[in-house]
Amino acid sequence: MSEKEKDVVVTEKVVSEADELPKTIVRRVVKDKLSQLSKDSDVNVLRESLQGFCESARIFIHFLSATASDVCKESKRQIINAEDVFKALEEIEFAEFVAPLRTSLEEFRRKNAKRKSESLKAKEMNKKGKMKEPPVTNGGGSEEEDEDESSEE
Amino acid sequence: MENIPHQMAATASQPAMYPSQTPYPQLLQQQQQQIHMFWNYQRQEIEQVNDFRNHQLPLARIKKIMKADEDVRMISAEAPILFSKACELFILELTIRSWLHAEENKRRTLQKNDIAAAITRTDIFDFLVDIVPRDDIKEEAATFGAILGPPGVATGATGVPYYYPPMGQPMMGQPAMPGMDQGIYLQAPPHPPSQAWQSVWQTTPDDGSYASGGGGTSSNQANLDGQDESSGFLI
Repeated sequence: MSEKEKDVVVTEKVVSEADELPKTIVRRVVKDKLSQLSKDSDVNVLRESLQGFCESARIFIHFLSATASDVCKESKRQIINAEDVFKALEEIEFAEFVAPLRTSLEEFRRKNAKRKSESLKAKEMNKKGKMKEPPVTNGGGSEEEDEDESSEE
Repeated sequence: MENIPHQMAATASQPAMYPSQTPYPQLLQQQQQQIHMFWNYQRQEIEQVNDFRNHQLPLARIKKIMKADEDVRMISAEAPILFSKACELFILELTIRSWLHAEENKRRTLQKNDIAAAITRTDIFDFLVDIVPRDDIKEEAATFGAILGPPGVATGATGVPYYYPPMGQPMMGQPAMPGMDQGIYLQAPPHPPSQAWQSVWQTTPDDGSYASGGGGTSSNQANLDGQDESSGFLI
């Protein structure tokens, strides 16, 4: 039986671990949900089932990013942005994800803005402390870096 | 459960869409109970979604997976964040549906064929059809095919309607049932049942009602009250 399993593994597409989503995190997501769904008793997840979740999620990313890429191209842009992703979700009939994702995005943007303003304040303090070089270019440059950090890939 | 009489009344007044008589009242009630349980779980799902749990999938890994596709070139900084969350939501969906299948078979262990069944049952998971082997559920798939019939028949906009068999019950393809089922499933109302899902995701259910249609999607706003008439039967 295990030999048969081995054969199956070989003929299936094997993706290296580094290209998959981390099993521990996927496992946590699944187990937390299961413990919610089945409050009185534990539900087990077989190792191969976890693999199924990881693979499915990975393919989902591919599917969504390909669709988002198409949406982006249609609008004659180069960079896939948040709106492309939302539109793509609707196209692949996962529109129900859009609202919670928007909320998440708002949260992220708020946190990010806060982080930036705090780091800007810290820099200002530093400038005051140094009192030597003109600090202008430094402050401006690193802010841009932050924003564009992954726009060119 | 108080919505049920309302639903029955609603459906009775639209004979063109549903059979005006319900030949199997006890079975129907049982189904509705199960549907109710099902939606309870969905409600938990919604609550979780607004929970901001920190299951953050690593952005670098996600970026790597995205870039494996050559067509995907430049990605804004926000995109991987969205993908991470979307992925998490997706895993949650898949978990719920796989769990339902395990529950139906009275198992406490999630097996690969549970995932496979969840994929087969859910149309929007069609892109996963070759990923998880489905040898164990060929029979199920055949039964589904018989019930749903040709894809384009049931709904206008989105194609095949969502269909979730009642939990803990044998498949709908039993000899006693098919006539009624086909009547129900193939004569779907103009609003695709997938809208029911969207409203579930996008609104927090207020009371013990079923897929309490919120203002989530524009076409749902038209039938906030009567929305359950579709989800009640089709789900």
